[in-house]
Amino acid sequence: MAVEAIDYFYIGLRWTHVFAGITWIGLLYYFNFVQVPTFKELDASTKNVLVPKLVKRALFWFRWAAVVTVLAGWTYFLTAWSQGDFYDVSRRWWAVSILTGGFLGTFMFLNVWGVIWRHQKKVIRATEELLKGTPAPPDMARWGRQALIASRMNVALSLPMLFFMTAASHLPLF
Amino acid sequence: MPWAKETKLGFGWAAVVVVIFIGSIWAMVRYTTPAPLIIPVLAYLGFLAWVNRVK
Repeated sequence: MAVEAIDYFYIGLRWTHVFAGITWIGLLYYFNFVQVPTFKELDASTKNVLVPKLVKRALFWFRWAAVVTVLAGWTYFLTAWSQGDFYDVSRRWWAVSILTGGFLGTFMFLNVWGVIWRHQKKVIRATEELLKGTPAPPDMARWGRQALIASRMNVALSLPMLFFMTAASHLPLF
Repeated sequence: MPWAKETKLGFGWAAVVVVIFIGSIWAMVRYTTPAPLIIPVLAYLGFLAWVNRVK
């Protein structure tokens, strides 16, 4: 079977989607399973040094990996859709499964930019100011809590998201 | 160790979102109409409004 140009396009997008997705979800698990419990054991002065250095850098890769993952995923899906696959009844499970995974991933992406990063950047800025002698704003703990809820939610959503993403092509239910 | 309040809230919201998403996307594909997609959109906006009010 001859390999067509669109096959190279598909595999490029698929590779990009998986590579960026590993980076994104790997950092999500790092934050939730490693960083949050470790930070609970650290004193305030150590945390104030780590937040502008370690957390800021990790969040950079985290949020931009989310952008690349979602862009590559939707480009792949919309290209396949434009080929007419979506209307084929035999592909209905594929459509339900990949769209459920895709929309859960998109929800997670919106959480990254709309909640986690939006609040974490305020925490980072306040910590940088704190190191210069400016007192911490009263809302700082609240920003951290709001970001943590969204982050915990994304951990929980990642499990069904990964199930539906992989089941689309590997679990022919109907 | 008991689960932190944020973990319970995050997991609780995730459970609701998963049920809503599966149902609405199944309906979208089954009836070939994008109309059910309004439900996940409203779910996200609801979560966003709620989380911004967390003290």
